[in-house]
Amino acid sequence: MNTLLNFIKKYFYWLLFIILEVISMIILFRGYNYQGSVWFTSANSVAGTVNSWYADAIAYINLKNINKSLTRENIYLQKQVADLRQALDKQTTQPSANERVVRDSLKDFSLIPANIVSNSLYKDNNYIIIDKGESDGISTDMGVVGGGGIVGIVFLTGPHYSLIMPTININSNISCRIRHSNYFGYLQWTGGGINTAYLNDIPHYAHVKVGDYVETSGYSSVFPPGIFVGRVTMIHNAPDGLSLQLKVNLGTDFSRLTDVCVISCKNRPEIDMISSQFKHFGIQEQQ
Amino acid sequence: MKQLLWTTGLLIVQILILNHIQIYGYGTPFACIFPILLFSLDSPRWKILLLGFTIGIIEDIFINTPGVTAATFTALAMIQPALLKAVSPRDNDEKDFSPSARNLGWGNYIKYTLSACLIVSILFFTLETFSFFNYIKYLISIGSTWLATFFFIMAIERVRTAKI
Repeated sequence: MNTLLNFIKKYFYWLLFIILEVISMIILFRGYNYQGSVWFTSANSVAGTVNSWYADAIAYINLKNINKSLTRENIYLQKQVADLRQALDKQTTQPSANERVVRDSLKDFSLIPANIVSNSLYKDNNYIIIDKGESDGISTDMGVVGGGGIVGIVFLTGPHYSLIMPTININSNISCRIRHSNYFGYLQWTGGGINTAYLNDIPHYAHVKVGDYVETSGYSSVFPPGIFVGRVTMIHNAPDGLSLQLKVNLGTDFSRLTDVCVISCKNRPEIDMISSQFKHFGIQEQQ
Repeated sequence: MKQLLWTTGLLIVQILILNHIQIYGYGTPFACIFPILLFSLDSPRWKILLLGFTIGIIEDIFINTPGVTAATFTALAMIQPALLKAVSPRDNDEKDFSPSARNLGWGNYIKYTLSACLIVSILFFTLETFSFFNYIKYLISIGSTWLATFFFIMAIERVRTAKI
């Protein structure tokens, strides 16, 4: 303590000198405008530099916390990007022109969404199994559609799963028509490519050209009319020579199909009843 | 007491006469620094500093240079012991060795006074102009004040020495 006091006593004049000089400078800078402005500018500049150093130092010290928060934010953003990408995929694939037509066509029908659990693509008798069955209101001969157009017809049903006969099955036979001209025929698949099927029984005099749209005719209770099927890519005579056979590029990409909708026609029981009565009547008439 | 008298007397002379002397409009002799130069080596530093500051403030009031003379004379008071030590004989052991032409010899005393006057002139005009834009005027002012101050201090010292 004594040493400290002695030290202060010994160098007290330095402190006094600084105090007196500071007082003089204060008087000087207040008394002279020019000196005051120079001092103010320099002091501002110095203060700015020192503040900048201080800010840099604080920023450096806080880097660890900033890193942590950035990492957290990064993870959060990555998750958000993934969610949004998924949502965007849904938005960009579903409201395609084809699907809009499909949706419009299906306004009066109820749709049962289903996911595909199994399918085959490269056999003659291809099939698709979906995760909805009788307990979900699905019965045989219901139409199945996807984002790109028709998919097939429900062939067998179980309590929770159903088997679908897709258009790419050689036994599939779906009534279709040419859009705007109403000439209709039957869509059949002969094997081979999963994107191509043939529309048969189109009369020779029908005005058909390559690029025409093929859609469901609505001549059955399976599909409502106007659901997109595909586009005509080639026109030639049928093997029997009596009609035209149109090569159709199917709208549904079966290799990427993941979810479908089963079409439930509200009037189906009535149609079935009338149909059965007609059959019964026909049999009686024959008899 | 003697120093106080010197201070008061020189301040009066400075205020009434020397402040009105403008050598070609450039320099003003600062004879009032003389009391600061009178302190011996063993004088308390705080006393020299306070005296320098006080003379400076009074001078500032009268020549309307707020703070400039106070800062200059305080700085002179701070380095006065160093200046004196530089010109003092090396074999001198007396602590109350007071600076005068007789004690130091005229040669050393002139060196001591010249350096003190130069420091005062440079500091005063540097603080007053605060820029080196018109450096010719700045140098002329320093030179004229330096020599004028030196001349008056020599005259005063001559009078003092003769009186003693």
